[in-house]
Amino acid sequence: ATQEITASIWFPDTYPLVTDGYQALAQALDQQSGGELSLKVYTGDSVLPPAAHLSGLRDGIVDMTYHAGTYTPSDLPADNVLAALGISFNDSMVLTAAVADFYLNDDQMQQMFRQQGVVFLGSYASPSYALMCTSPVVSLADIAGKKIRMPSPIHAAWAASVQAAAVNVPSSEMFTGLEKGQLDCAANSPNDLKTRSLWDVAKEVTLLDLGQYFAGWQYAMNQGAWSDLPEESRQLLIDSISDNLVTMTIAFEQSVAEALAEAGDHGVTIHEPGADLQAALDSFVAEQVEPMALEVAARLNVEGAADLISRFGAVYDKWQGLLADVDRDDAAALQAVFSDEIYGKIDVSAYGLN
Amino acid sequence: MENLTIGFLGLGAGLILLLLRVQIGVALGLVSFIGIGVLLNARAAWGMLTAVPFNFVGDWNLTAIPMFLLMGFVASETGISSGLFRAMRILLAWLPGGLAVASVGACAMLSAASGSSVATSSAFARIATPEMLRYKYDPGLATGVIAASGTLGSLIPPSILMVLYGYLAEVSIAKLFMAGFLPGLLSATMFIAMIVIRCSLNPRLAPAVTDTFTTRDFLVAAKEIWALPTIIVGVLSGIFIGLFSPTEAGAVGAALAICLGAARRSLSWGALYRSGLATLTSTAGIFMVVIGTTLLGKFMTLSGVPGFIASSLLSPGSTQLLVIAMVAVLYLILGCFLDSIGIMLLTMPIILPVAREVGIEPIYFGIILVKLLEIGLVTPPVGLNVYIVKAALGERVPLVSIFRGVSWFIAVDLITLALLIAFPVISLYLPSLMD
Amino acid sequence: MMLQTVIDVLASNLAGRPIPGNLEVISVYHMVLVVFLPLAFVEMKKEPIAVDLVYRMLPDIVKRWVLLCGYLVTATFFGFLAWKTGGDALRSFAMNEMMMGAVFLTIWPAKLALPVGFGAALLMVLANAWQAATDPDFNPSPDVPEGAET
Ligand code: NA
Ligand code: NA
Repeated sequence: ATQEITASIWFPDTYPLVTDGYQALAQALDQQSGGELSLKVYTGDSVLPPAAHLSGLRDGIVDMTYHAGTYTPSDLPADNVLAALGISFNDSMVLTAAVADFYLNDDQMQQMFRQQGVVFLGSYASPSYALMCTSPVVSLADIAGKKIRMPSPIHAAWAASVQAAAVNVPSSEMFTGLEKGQLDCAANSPNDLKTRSLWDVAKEVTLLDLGQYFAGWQYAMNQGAWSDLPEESRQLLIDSISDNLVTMTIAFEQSVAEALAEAGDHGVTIHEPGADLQAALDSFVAEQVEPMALEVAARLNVEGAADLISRFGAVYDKWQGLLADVDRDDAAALQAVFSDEIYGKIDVSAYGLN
Repeated sequence: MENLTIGFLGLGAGLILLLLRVQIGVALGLVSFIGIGVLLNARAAWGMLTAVPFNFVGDWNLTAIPMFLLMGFVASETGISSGLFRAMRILLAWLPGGLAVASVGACAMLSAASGSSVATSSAFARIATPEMLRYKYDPGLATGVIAASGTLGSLIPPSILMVLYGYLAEVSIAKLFMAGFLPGLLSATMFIAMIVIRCSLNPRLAPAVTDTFTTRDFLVAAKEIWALPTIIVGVLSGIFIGLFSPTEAGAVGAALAICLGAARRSLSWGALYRSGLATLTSTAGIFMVVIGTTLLGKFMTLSGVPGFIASSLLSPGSTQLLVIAMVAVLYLILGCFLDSIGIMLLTMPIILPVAREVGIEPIYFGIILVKLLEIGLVTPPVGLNVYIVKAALGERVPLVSIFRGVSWFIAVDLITLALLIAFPVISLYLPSLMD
Repeated sequence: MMLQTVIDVLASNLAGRPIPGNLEVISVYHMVLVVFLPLAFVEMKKEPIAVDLVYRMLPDIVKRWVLLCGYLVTATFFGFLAWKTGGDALRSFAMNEMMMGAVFLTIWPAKLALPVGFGAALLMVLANAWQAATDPDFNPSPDVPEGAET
């Protein structure tokens, strides 16, 4: 019999996590199963509001979702402790692999997912954030007094440490905010220059690497829906996700590269950060980020947070080593490593089945 | 049962409940709850009741609605709006339907500041309509003009819908904004022309001013005229200079109205209390409808009804004009029972590839889509702008009269739409200057 | 809500320092309070938005039955909503639920507003239903239409 998995991701159709993530996965499943296993993808908030992509998955409104973990810190405490470290990472392929590896295998993470009634299947990581501004922001002196849309409380704390003001506006008001001057800068992945037309209003981009976002999951399934799948479908899903994560992450990075390459045609100047600005960020990351992650842990009652952070750090380091000599554009080589080191080791007759 | 059958049965059941005077939010919400329960299972249906109400309300863009309503109620309680309209009545005595024409102008001005159509309507429903009713305007005209002119909010930039379309279709938002200007002005002009023609043919719609005015009357009126424009100009310039966002503008406008009311000594604690209370009941009434329509949107998506309608109307390999005509039919149908953002999200994956295939200019196409979605805001039975006007006025005008009044504006909008489709240059001239 | 937004606008422009978490507080707390708590009041004033096109044309006795059934349907839906959002609020309270934007924000008190609002609206609808059933002169429209009439 043919089977349909329903899925929801609240980004619009043009976002890399949708086109190269969900839609590509749907195609792969369809081809490899000969039409037996299909993925029905709902985008935007047509089925679930963004913040409800966990509760809706738990309640089985759809079988699979993408979820931005920071929307539900109390439901996903351990995930949010690690997400607080986001500002310190800058290699999205290593981060994607490390998160998948850690979340699939670490007991504390697995217990968190079990409590929610969801089965974690795949990770994601955004390309690094950069500053998209209306006036050049290169040095410490430039950034002081600027109003910047920051993606997280940690980023907001950094902004405060360099005398900038963090402003929280929804993404739908980012364009008009920059246009009318309520915002001087937005810190986001630079593919937004193109996808959100920010290059019409933010003509000065500074490639200050403000870290990456990976909280929650790219693919997770409702526990009941996962265990109802026959074993061969679960295996097919796991194998397809393994390959998909690599091509999706490459495409996500490429969307940034493309946007930056085309930005010049739209009158955008791209700056490298000044030494003092970079140094201020580096020292913040070195000194403040881990204590702040521990503060988040205390707030969310996560036990053994220091240990959690160091276990994750070890897995990240392992992946830096594993991918050190792999060409980041060689999808096949990367897929081989993902399969050998992560997804090939999953036993679908036991994983996620209580 | 087939999912589609469940979807269509649900729509029918909802319509019956509506006609039996069950309040709109409850009728649509309950049908969707049961529908999702039948489609999926009880747990999912219950889950939707937690997922929707709380998360939907936390939407920052909607915070403008209560604030603009408050601004309107305060302006009306303190006599600020009646002052202006008394003056305008004298100054516009020569123009048939003068107050209605003035309302179109005022809505167009606010549209240039606000990105949302419902916000625009909510701001003026309370300011302008009661004044038109006071001067014995036809209730359908007095309400329809506000519901319809509010839809300029998304056509004249800035516009939340255009930001969304720009994102989905990957076209420049700045160009879309430029492209919206002339079509917005055209729509406003068409509205005004229709009002003037109708009112001169049938003066009972908007009783002409027969009193004779002395110079003294003019002076008294002139003294009254400044307050409301001060608020509106204050709000508009604040947005343009970048002091605050369109969403925050509602709050600033309400505060300004309170300050001016105090300065005119027409603000009492009683007036403040009544404004606050009216704002609360109107807001709760509107959001109950919004929750119902949102639940209906989720139910429809899961049942596949919008996709079915879209794919049965659109077939690849047609001509440009045929595609546009079919999209127009599709949006007018969906506009009857879904909200604008929902329609756009649901149909873009089907429509965009077809439009690209036949090579329709994306900016021109976006403007036509936005215009279509705007018409959907005033078509029955789910016409959000009409509900807004209704909520701001309470029981003074029946919903049916508002829909009847607005039908004239829909007719004019269809002509405007035909012009926009026939002459792409109306949409594309201004953006072409940007290159 | 208005005051806080205005103060935020002033702070942001005059001092260059917006209120941290202003967006979250307004969209979560104020909006929830403004939207849900007055629901019962809307019912009390009989102002929910409804279509009375067909209803107006019905004979009086049918009107009463339709009205009564309508109130019961409405009460059922408010009951569902109150029950479900109440459970959600309890869950939220039990885990001291927070949300994270620019700041961390405890959200269970806001979630509590939903069952309270829906529950009060439910009681008010039942009261209206009782009146509609017992009082032949019951008027389902607002009692005192205000202002200049048409
Ligand atoms: Na506008
Ligand atoms: Na409609």
